[in-house]
Amino acid sequence: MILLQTTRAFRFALQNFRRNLWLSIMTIIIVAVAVFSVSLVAAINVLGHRALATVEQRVDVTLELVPDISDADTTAFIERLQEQPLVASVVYQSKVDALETFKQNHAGDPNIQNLLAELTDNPLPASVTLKAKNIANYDSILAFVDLDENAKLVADSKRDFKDSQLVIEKLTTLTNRVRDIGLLVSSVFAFLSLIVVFNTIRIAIYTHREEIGIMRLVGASNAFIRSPFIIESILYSIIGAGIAITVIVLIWQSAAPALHAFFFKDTTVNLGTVLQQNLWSIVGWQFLGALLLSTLSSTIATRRYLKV
Amino acid sequence: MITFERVSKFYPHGVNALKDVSVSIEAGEFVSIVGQSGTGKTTFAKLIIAEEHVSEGRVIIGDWDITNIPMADVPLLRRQIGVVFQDFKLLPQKTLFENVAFALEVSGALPSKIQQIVPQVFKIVGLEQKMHRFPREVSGGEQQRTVIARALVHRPKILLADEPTGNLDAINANEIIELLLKINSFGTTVVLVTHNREIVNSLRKRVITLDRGHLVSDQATGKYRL
Repeated sequence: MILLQTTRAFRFALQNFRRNLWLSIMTIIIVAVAVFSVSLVAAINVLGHRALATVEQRVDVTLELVPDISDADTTAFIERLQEQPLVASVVYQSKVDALETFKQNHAGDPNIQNLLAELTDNPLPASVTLKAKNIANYDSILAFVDLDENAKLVADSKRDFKDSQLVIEKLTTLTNRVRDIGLLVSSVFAFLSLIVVFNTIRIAIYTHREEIGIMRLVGASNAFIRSPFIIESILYSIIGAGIAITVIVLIWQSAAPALHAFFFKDTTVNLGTVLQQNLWSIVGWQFLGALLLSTLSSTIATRRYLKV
Repeated sequence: MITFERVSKFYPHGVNALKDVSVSIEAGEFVSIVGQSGTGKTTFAKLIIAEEHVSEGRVIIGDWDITNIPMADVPLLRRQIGVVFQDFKLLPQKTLFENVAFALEVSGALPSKIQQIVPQVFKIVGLEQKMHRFPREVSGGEQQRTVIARALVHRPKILLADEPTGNLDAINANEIIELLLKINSFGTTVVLVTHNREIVNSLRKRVITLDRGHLVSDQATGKYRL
């Protein structure tokens, strides 16, 4: 019985859809634009966060240790750093390792190789490379390094995180601003689609007032009279979201190489994989959002205009 | 079958459609509700199918007190009462068969049941040869017969006809009344709301007369008095 009634409600919904075809198409376009704009904001957010994470991952601080530092002092210093809650990682490079790395990095340069061969002593210092859990933590960590017991062990520090911090702040501001504008635009489109779906259902109810009157007369249940209009709005959301998702996937695929070159050059981030990993959750959320939007507006419209 | 107990119906702006009306219609009766325009005949009909609710009093259909019937139960009530209106209310894009089948479809009837019942009711109203035509392809009388066929598909205990001959010429009107009498002879209670004097006088059945919302006469074999 339920299956039969649902099938009939679907048939009436498709009939409504066909009879007001242009109106249906316009409604679908508005829903698609709303879903697309929300997705665009989400994509900007994802890209922004990935870009920020990539920049943050590249930031570190290297502390060159004094030449005559003892092994005990080195170990104690590293332990003190590791105990700091804001420190994500501490990597120690001994003098020997530093020289080896230097040699490897300049293996193709005969001048440097000759110079190194003439050296009797290792001129390179041992060092400690720090990574903070958050870019904002570097000031606190370096304040800790500057304490007397630590400062006497450090010869020099490469504190170039300030430039990176500036880049990150600018990137964060830009991403937030784009997100805020996007959210505003999305809200406008979401509200517009709410109104348009509402109006479409209102017109559908008006177009079918004769049939609705007869349905009431012959004892159709209220749920049965309302259901075609709800189904019609669900159709709008499914088709609208489907169009938006298709467009998004096509744009993402064609723009991915350019975006990758701009934001993620020399990183392991793969935008194709990012889309693949998030596609089903994007699709799910978009359908859910569109469904909620259209069900809400059609429910309001049927309650307002379908006195059964 | 139908009981009105001290029923009054007031509309906004001081319009009193019915005032203190008490009447009882038994199962299998053929009753004409008569009166001039604006006397409360249509309100009387609307109260029977719960399209309106009483302001005072009680309305009982069978054993069912529908005075404060919940919205969800109204469809159940309407499946037990066949309704025929003056303006036919047929869907022009559907054939006569589809129009009648529509009443069963929206009530959840199985396709096999639809295919079985619809030709039967068309046979009762004498339109089995024309049931696949569209409303525009048949006469007004035949359209009204189709409406009666649609009213019969739920095998109602009550058939309520509100001015069913209002849009018809004398010959077609008589045919419709003949059909209502035939349906009544099967045991269905028929309530005919009309202001057609000739029809009421020719029927020689019970007549309830309303005047400005009051029940002014109830005769077992009455005539149109106003």
